[in-house]
Amino acid sequence: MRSMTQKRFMARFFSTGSSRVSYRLERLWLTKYVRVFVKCILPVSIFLSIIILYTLEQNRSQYWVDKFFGVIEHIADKPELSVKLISIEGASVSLDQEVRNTIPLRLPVSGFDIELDNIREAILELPAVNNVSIRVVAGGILKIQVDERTPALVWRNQAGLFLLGTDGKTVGSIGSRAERSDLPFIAGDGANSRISEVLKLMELAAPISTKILALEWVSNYRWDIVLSNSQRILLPPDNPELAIDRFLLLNETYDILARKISRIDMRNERRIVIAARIETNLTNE
Amino acid sequence: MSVENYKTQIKMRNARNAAIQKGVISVLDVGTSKISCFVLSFDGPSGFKENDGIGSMLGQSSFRIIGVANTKSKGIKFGEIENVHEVERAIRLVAQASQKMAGKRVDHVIVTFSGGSPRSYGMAGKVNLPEGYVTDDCIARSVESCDIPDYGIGREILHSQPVNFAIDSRSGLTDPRGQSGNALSVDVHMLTVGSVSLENLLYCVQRCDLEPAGVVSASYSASMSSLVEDERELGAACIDLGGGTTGISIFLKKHMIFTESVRLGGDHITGDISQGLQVDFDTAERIKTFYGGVLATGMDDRELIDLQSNTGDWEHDSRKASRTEIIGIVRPRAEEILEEVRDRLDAAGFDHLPSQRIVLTGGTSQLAGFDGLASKILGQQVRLGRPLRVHGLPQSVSSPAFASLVGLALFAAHPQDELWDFDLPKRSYPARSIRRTTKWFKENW
Repeated sequence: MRSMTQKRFMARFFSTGSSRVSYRLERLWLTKYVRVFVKCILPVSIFLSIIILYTLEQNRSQYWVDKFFGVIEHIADKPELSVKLISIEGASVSLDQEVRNTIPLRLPVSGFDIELDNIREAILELPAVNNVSIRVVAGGILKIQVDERTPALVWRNQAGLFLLGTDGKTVGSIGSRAERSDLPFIAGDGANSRISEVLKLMELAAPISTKILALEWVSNYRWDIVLSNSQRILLPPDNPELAIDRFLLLNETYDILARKISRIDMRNERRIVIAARIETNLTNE
Repeated sequence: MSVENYKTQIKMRNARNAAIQKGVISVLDVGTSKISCFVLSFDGPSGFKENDGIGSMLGQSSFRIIGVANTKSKGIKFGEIENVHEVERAIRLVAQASQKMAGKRVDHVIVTFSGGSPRSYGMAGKVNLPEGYVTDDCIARSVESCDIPDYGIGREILHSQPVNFAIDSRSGLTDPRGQSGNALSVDVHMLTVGSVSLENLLYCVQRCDLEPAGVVSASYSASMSSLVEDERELGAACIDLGGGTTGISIFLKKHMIFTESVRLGGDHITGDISQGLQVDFDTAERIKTFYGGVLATGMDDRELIDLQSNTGDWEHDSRKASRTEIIGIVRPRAEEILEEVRDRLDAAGFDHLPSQRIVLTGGTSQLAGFDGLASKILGQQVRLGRPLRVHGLPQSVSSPAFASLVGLALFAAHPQDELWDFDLPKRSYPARSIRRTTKWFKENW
């Protein structure tokens, strides 16, 4: 008779089959949900909880935030990336200075801190600037390419003397007419919105251009040509070009302007009125 | 039939349905010489269709084997458990290995049972058909009306399958539902086994955290995989030559009509060799497997076999035996087994069947020349049966020794209707009283 107690005791250590515990563990491991839990949910949750617990301490998270921004700053502060110079191209001396005053930068500055769009808008607000392109080029140079608006006319209104571009926008102001005597001169409120008309009239009136002092916009509806020896040509509101042509023809034939005439009224095309000048001592003064 | 028995069977049937719903079930063959286990994976409920029937594929397309394990069994004699702990450990080993191979946890198991001296009974029941045609209720009543013989104390019903229905004089019906007639009679084949050995087996299975989802007679399940359809239809006997027992099952009209088991098997042949040649059991098993046979020829006299025993005595260990000697030991025992089988078949009236095909399966049937010997003793129509091919069956377990396990897999996919699958017949009184109550409510409210 074999020993039953001894055998069972030894069987715990030297059993040929699998033990009850290992069998149950194996079956547990083969259970679908246990497998999913141990292989996916458990590691992910442990990993997340470590991260959360680590960052929950205020100082540590602040340390990492500071460190992160510190690295960014460190890169931004590299001398290779800083802007040391502003170069402005295509601007006159006065505009150059004006643009430099407009740019709110204290050089040298990091290339990361420059907001090109803001600078561009600020420069575009200058009246003398038509268009501008800005870029940072190698070597730490902020290159500003300015398309300057060139003055085409001098305009006088009640506020003073202004320079106008061909588009009618104000480019700048001047103290006296003598500063830009090379430019045509116009006067009258609302004249600045009719620059193209002015330029066309000036072109037509080229034969007498030396005598023309100014074009005056009268009553916001028609033009007068003011000539040098206090003569004045009154143009009609409709088709002033034709009137100028006719005047030029008239002048060529009769040399009107050399005569003592103060006013040539071309407003009515059928009836040109020429006013003679009455010379008095008063006018001479 | 005892109420306890009925409840256990219903419980196992529910467990099997639950397992099929889950998609995995394991089948376990606890034999005298080996314990083996398959894990089956089902395609799901869609794999089973009402109108599938048993087709040419026999339903094996609906599942595949995903786990296989096999071990030598210990503590089993004549298909019955002698040492619960040894068997439990062996079951645990195969269950663990097969589940590991399958990569799935399996909770339900269908078990074969080859011991417990099975006994077959034929029962008949008859009911009148008040409606004039057969309803489900009629079948349940007819089955219930069977006169259950007194099968003795300490025995339990393992199978009870309706094998034949007859309406009036028309017999041989498989599905009588919806047919008209005056009386329905049914023949039921009942199989009982010793309840103690069955309980031991179920205890071992439950100790392994597995829920039994059915217990099937080993000889029945072996025939499920070895008999082909026409044999099952025309009449055939499947002889499952196992290690400790030899199971006999007779089929007619696609139903098992008789089961018996002879408590003789391959282990007895091995034992004879062991005694006759004075070698240990394992060596005797090896000699039987490699050199065993039942028909000696002149050549066998000259073939000397080393009897490799290891007692330490050189004279004893270096003995040789000729193959004729071995055959001389094997043959009488093989004849004895087959003669026992012959007796049982005669007792069952096998020679009255239209066809008397005999199919040999099981591990011992692989003995060289066994079918020749069997045809001399059992009749001319003997063939060797191998298990049918099923999906995922490895080559290593497709030998006749695994016929019973493969058959169990087929059985799991296509179970036979048993007595407990029919609903208890509705007693007319409660149904009528409920109907009357509802009618009363409807009229008065």
